[in-house]
Amino acid sequence: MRALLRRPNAIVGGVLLLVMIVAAIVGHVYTPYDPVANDLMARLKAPSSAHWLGTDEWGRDVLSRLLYGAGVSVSISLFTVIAAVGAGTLVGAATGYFGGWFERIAMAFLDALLAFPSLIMALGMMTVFGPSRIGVISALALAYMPSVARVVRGSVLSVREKEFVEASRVMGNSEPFTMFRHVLPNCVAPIIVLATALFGWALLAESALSFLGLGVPPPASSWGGMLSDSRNYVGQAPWLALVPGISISVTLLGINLFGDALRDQFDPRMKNL
Amino acid sequence: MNEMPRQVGDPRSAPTLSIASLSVAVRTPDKSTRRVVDEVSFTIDPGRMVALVGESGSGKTMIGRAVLGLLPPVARVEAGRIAFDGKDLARASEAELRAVRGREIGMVFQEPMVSLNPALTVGFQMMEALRLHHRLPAEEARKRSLEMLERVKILDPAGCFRAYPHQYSGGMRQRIMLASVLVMRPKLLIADEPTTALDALIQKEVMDIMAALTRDIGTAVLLVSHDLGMVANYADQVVMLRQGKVVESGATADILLAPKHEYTRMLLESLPERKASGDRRQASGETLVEIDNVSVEFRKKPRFFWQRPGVFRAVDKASLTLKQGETLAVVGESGSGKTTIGRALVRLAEESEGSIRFEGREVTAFDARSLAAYRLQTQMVFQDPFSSLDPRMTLAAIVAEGLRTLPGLARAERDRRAREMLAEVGLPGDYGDRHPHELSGGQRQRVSIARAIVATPKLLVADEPVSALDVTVQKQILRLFTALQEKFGFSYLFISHDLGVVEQIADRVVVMYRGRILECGTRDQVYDSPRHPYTLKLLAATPRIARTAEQGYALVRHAGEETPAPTGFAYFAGEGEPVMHEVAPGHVVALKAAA
Amino acid sequence: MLKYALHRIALAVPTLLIVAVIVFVLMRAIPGDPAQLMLGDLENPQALARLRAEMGLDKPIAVQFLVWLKHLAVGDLGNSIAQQRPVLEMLTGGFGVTASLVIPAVVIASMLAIPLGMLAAWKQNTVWDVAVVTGAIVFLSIPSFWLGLIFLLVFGLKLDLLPVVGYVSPLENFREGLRYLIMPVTALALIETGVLIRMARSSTIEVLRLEYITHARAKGLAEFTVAHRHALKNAMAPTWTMIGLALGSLLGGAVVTETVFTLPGIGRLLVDSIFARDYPVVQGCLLFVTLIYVLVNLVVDLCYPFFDPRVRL
Repeated sequence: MRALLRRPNAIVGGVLLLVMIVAAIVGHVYTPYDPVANDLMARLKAPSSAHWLGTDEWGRDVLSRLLYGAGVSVSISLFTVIAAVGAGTLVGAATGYFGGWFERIAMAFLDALLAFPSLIMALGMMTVFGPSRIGVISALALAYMPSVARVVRGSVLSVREKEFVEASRVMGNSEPFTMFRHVLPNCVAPIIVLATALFGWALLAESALSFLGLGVPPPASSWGGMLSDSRNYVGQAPWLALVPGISISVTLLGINLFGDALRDQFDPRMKNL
Repeated sequence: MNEMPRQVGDPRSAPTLSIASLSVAVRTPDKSTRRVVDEVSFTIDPGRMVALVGESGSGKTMIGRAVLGLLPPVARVEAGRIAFDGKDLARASEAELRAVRGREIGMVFQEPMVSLNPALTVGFQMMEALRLHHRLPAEEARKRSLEMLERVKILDPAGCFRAYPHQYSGGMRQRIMLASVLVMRPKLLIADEPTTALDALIQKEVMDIMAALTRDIGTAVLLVSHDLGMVANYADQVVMLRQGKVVESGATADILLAPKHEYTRMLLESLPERKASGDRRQASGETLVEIDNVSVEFRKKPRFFWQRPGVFRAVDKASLTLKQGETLAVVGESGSGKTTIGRALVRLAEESEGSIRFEGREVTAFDARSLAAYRLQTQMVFQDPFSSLDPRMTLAAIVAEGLRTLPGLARAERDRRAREMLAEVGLPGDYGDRHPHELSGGQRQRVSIARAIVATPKLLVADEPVSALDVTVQKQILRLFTALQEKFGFSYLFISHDLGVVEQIADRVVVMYRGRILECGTRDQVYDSPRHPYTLKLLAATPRIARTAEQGYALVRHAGEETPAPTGFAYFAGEGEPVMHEVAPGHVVALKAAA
Repeated sequence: MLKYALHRIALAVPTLLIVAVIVFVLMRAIPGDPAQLMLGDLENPQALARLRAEMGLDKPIAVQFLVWLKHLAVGDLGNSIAQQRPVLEMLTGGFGVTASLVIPAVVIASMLAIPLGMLAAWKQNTVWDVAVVTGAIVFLSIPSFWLGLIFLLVFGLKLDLLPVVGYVSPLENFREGLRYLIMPVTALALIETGVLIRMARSSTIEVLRLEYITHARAKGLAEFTVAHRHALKNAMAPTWTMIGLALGSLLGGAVVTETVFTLPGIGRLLVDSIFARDYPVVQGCLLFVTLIYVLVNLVVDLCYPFFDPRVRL
């Protein structure tokens, strides 16, 4: 753990992430202005001391919307990751454990799910659910679940061949016990690495969906939605387009850096010698 | 030393390679440097074979790489001279080195599976150096390559030329690599553990070809190896290395057969040797295990789901008995089925026919309860010390898990017994709180053994338990096995490909080949009067260094002659059904009715 | 080789079938009467009754699926509610646009990423490596639609260099078409380059570790020769597969990029038809995009043995 924190990737990424998460928590509790309150007297004001990041076309304070939006995006991404990892681990472990017909059918189904580019799949699901938070979470979780299942399955299959797993059987331990005590705990590392990557994908996908208008419904201020709103005023008020975009990019950068450091940490071969 | 004296150059001419005070340092993860080669000096005369010998960590591989400037990025030459052909290679530029590589100095590597590029044909790779250095036209290069492929005894050189490396076995790939390097007729060949990854019989083949070819062409050889027996058999001179420093160097006969330095003596003493087959204190002579006509089949997964799965017989109607308190060794090369038979015994593999009886009871018919009880009586020690322990558990927990299925033991009691057993195998005190990655290979094997014996089973199946260890560590572990047997009265089924190890530890020996048992008898019977031609070949392929009466050592090459089969029979060679024939009390050989 | 090809093609069939099932289930999950949904807001009881009978809505669901599949097999995807045109026609029209966006993006990304990734791997842990890796990670963290938006802002509005809406096919008028495509393609390509660089780099690192590279050097070959003759092919194998997958994410990215740049591609068609509740078109887009993706990956897999002969036999 300590070694992880020494890596430059982890430090930079971790700091960025921390800022983002703090902003998300803060955004839920307190913002300088009410993120959904219109103030038509203060429309499209450039960044100033009153409004640090300016105002949008309804006069709403951009900084407040940004903070609030952080909470929205983070919570959606988090739930998506939890759902995808939970479902994916179950399916992946089950195929690795049972094998046989179950495995073949499950894999065929997962392959079919993976044939949908994730955003396309999400769009399809949104047609059914309609714009809503739960809709976004379910759609994205379904889109990412197969990737998790594949990784878990691969991990289970490779750990299962290790001699200490065979030793467990020779000792007389039952298959389920061997699975839970020896196989799964040693599969955790790749799942963690994938989960961090998924968090980034989910964040990006949620922004894209909101940008298209098919994500979190207004007046909630998801970052993607803010970007979408900014399109009409991009000439007059460029900060409306820059601020949310930079926030998304910086957050994703933090996630990617941290995720990289995590992956390098777990993969002994990639260590800088 | 060898069958034929090597073509040596005029002793007054300059040595081919002269290493003077060479030091190589590596950068460690915490940014400091550490010398892995420390002031090493030796020379190689034209046409001679010099061996760099040492255990792991001796720096022998680094020296070989340093000569060609192929050290890994973390290592560099710190000091010294590498004199070759009037140049100092340690200080040569990249361009100068490239001119030498492949043309004047060739290199053969250890792992045949990864040392040839899988994406290019064999022919292309063979011609590469020829076309680069000699600028030969394609036709000429091809001709020479085919010639060389023939000389390394590849059966269809033209076909091989067009084929890809993965279509060939390990031994053949090594021969191909030899051919591609020697076709350039270099002055020096660096062979880095060229046969370590190969079976014994194939090792001999490859080394014989290498020795003969280099002799014919006049190439000097720098052989890097840890195998003392092989070195004694082929090399003219030996440089003994230990942790980067030269311990001794000189003619092979002097160094290996009349060692002066303490370290060399210790290495030679660690080599397995035959001990007198005394009475085992604890042996009762009763039959413990009977394996009767057992076959184990594996289903090969079909490539396309509509095909029927193929069947592969790993063990084919094998029968053997194991007596209480004895050590029965199963010997064979890869694919012989020796591991599978051990796995069938501990029920990791299902037999498809035949019966296995333990203390008279039929194991294959056990219900869950009896199977659980059986499991407590039969345990296994695995081969790979690096994957046989769960990396997330402490040592005490790993060993204590072996007691989990014993009824009526509280957690604290299990822990206590586990630590007791760890102490028994030489890991006392707070070793129990450590994790596997903190231990060396030999220590991990000790833990594996402790786990296997913590519930005091009657039978221990040891699957190549010392193959991955250095020879000095190997000796300790073998000693441990013997000591434990003395103390607890275990019976061992000892699986190994290493005839030397088997000679030391076994009471009785079984020789397997392609799933069949070819010969079975007491250790003395099989080693002193082997009958089956395969056994003879195996014994002849591994020359050993054995202690002589006068406190010296001699290279012992097994020189058994073939005894003809009894009339009406031929020795079983793999086809048809064998008949086990007793040639002496307790000594059986597989025969086949002569056509 | 033929066996491998047949095997691989045979594997694609069940995948496509299950995809069809998924889309079918999805469309039926939309609340409302399936036939009514297909007709839109039109109030026409006779048409409704006719469609209901055609879709077999009174029969068991499995039969309905087969009916639906049959229509699919002959290319009958129904008619768009909004435009009253066959869906298939709209799809093929839009496909050209999307292809002209996605194909150049993936080609440019590959041509940039592979040499850069290999360079980074060859000079691992030097300044070059750090620079390439940092650049890659920065680029792949940027949302492609936002980058597109920024381009629009800078090159379109502020500098007035390039058009901000509309599309001209490069097949008709190359220069004009290029002007419309250059910004969206660049946006997509830059992001994807970041992703592919990492893959190329890591697979090259894996390859460099192997002994046949040292062996090639031991023959006296120059570094560059070792790189392109020995390392490239082997490092390309996993990267090539990744390129196929990259296409999937590019198709997703195209959806949003087409919206930003108002290009009449399939992505925008999908989004617009979701808003318009034009379900036949939604269904058609889902099926079409997936089909393309599966076919592309099939082709990618069939080319794989070129890089790794071990798969051939």
